[in-house]
Amino acid sequence: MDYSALLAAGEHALSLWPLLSLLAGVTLGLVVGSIPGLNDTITLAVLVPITFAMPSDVAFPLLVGVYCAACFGGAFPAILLKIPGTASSVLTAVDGHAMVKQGLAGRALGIATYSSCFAGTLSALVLVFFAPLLAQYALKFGPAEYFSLCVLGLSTVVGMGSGNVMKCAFSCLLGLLVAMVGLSPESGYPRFTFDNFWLLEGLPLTPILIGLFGLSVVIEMLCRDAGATAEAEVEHRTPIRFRDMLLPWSLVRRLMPTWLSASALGNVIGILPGAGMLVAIYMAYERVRRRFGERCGQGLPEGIAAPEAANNSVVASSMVPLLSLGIPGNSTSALFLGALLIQGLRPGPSLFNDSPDVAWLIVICFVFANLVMFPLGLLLARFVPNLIRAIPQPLLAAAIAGLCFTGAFAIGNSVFGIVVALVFGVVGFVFNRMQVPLSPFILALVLAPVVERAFFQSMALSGGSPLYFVTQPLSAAMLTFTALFLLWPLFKRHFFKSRRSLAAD
Amino acid sequence: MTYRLTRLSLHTRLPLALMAATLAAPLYAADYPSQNIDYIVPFDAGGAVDFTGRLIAEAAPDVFDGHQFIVKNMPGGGAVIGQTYVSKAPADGYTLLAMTSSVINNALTKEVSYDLDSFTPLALYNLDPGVVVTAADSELTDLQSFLDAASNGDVSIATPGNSTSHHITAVSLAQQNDLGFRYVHNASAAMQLQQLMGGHVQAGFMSLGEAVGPAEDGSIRILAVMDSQRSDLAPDVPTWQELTGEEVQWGTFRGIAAPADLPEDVKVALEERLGQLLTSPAFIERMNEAGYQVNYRDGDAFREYLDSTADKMEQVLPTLDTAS
Repeated sequence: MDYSALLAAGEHALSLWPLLSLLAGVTLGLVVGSIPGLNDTITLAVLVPITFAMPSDVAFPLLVGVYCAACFGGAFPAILLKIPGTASSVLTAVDGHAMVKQGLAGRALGIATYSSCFAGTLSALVLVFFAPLLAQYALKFGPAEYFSLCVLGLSTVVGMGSGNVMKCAFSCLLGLLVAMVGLSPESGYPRFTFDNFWLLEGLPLTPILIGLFGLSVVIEMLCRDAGATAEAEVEHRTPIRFRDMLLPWSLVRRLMPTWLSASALGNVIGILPGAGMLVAIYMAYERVRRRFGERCGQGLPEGIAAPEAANNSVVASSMVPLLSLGIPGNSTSALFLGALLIQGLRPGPSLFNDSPDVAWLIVICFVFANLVMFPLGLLLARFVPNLIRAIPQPLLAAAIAGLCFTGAFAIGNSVFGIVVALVFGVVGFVFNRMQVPLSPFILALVLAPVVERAFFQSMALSGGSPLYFVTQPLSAAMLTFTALFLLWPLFKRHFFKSRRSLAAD
Repeated sequence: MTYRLTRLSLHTRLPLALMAATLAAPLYAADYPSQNIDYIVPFDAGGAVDFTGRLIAEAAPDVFDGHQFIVKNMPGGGAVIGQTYVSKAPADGYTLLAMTSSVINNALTKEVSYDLDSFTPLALYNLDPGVVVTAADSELTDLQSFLDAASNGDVSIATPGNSTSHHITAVSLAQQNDLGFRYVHNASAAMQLQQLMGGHVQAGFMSLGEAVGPAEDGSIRILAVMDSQRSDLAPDVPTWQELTGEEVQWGTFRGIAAPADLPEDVKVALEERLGQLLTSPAFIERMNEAGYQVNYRDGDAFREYLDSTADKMEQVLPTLDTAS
């Protein structure tokens, strides 16, 4: 490890222009992250060609800033309006908005800020020190392992939605069914497309999210009766002060174990291309649910801390395969690949030898971006909610609808996105009314293509033998965990019953 | 008399019009371009087509009288959505398509409303020949050992997806040489690389541009390039033909097309300006820096290339359904 290069890069990053561009990047990231439909990928796609003209020590701080902050920015609308700004804040909305309803908006935003920055910094440090090691581990994940990881991820839905297993299973299966639409990854055969080419590649994820979370809230606002308006009045009366957002030491100590376990999950699972981000936040949340049971989903601090810590860990760790192996882990790091190439650099094992200054600068920017995010995040949290509250409900509903439609259109430059968003807006509204949790639906929707592809790949490799999944050690281990996850409630009941009967004797 | 007058007035008007045109852009149709041009990328942001498209957009205002190329991503349906959109767009030169081999695949394998004749090819700017790769620590160290292994039984190969041109290449080669492949379909070159480097599959079919970097790092080995001659990007890699004597040319390409029935003056203007842009030293330097070669061909040469590729694919496709 070349500490002098690291120190030099740190010093370089703190000089005027790199620091200014990092600040600009983080600010921009917070803004686009908090607008549903805009995300880091779109922003980077627009920015990368512009970075041509910039020296590398201005270009990379900017891009890293956007990437880190967009993920965190998604938490703001998730908490305040129950509309996740990005897919990564889907679960933050659950407990976050519940806290807002209890008049604890400041506290909720504070927890999100603390969690994001703490976990983000931690995983940036992991990126600094352990990137090559983690990259080698990521390579061990083949088709069988991906399959088992997805099965493990899907098994977490059992506990969602305050324990109503039937409703969760329904939501999850519906998600899998919707994911069926489109070309089969194995045979290329079109499924449920009705000869409509818009459906060939399946329903687009972002408009679905915008509909389920954004438009459903708008419909909800329109249906709100007088009683609910009174409830909204209560929220209005509590402007947020900085004081509310700073967490007392006792709470920090209480959340520390959640932060650590969630960022460990984020670091380990997040480096896996494709499945990483969502599986990490769902598993982190599942851990919290196991610990707190019923209280989860009703404004539990850990319910915000776990997903926010996990998703910000994934941001830095998704750079591991790119910087160490030259393989982009997701579409955003593919854009980073483009940005590196433009600057005449090629990511991969040789990057740190050939151009250590830029390589270390990028890595160190991840650390600084997360640190800068803290004050900027608090500043935003101080003013934006008060601004939102100043807007009358009908206007706010109209503004959200406008943003939702713009985002749904922008993602594919087509009206089809708006149609999808509208349909799923109604679906989301009905789900909410029936108290069917939306999160199993999202997880199933995202994991279905991954699990299906992994299944067929495994079958191609094994010559059609399902035993393949248990003969691969890593995969077998994850399947065992899944079985334990699913059967634990049965064991637990049996265990407690025998203890109780023992006590009775 | 009237006739003379009209001629005279034309004589006085023409130089004026020409002068105006000279100021704007010499030798081109006077009224094109008069507004920004939509450049439709039928894929998500971040891929090679999107990326090179944005390089073109960056250089466009200099050549198009200050008018911009607006890059619009229209992903979906394996590029069908963006391609359909352009095929149905007005043929006025203000909607262009980032044209790739998927236009041919889609027209042949899917129920789409367009074919090659629905487009006016304007320029080809990048050719990326196909390659066969194995992991660096694989026992398949050269093409011969790869062919031996594949003819004895089955070699697992990673493709970037069903019915992609790389999958079709593999099917075609297997058919011609009686090879046995187990197809592991992925969704991107990145996933192929990960499976190769992790030792989950034995070999892969991908584009040279995607393989050069990892090969230089020593994590994968390129066995052969499927082109008529060696590439400047990897001069040490032999061609398939050198090693087997069999002429094999497969690859992906990136070009620019407009809807069919483009007015002749607009077509000429577009071809000339795009030619000027794509061969400018500044653009070529940008492309090279980013790891892409510029292989410029004008509209007619591009059309020829498209037709010959379509012919080759049509020969293989009937076998695709059974070979997946």
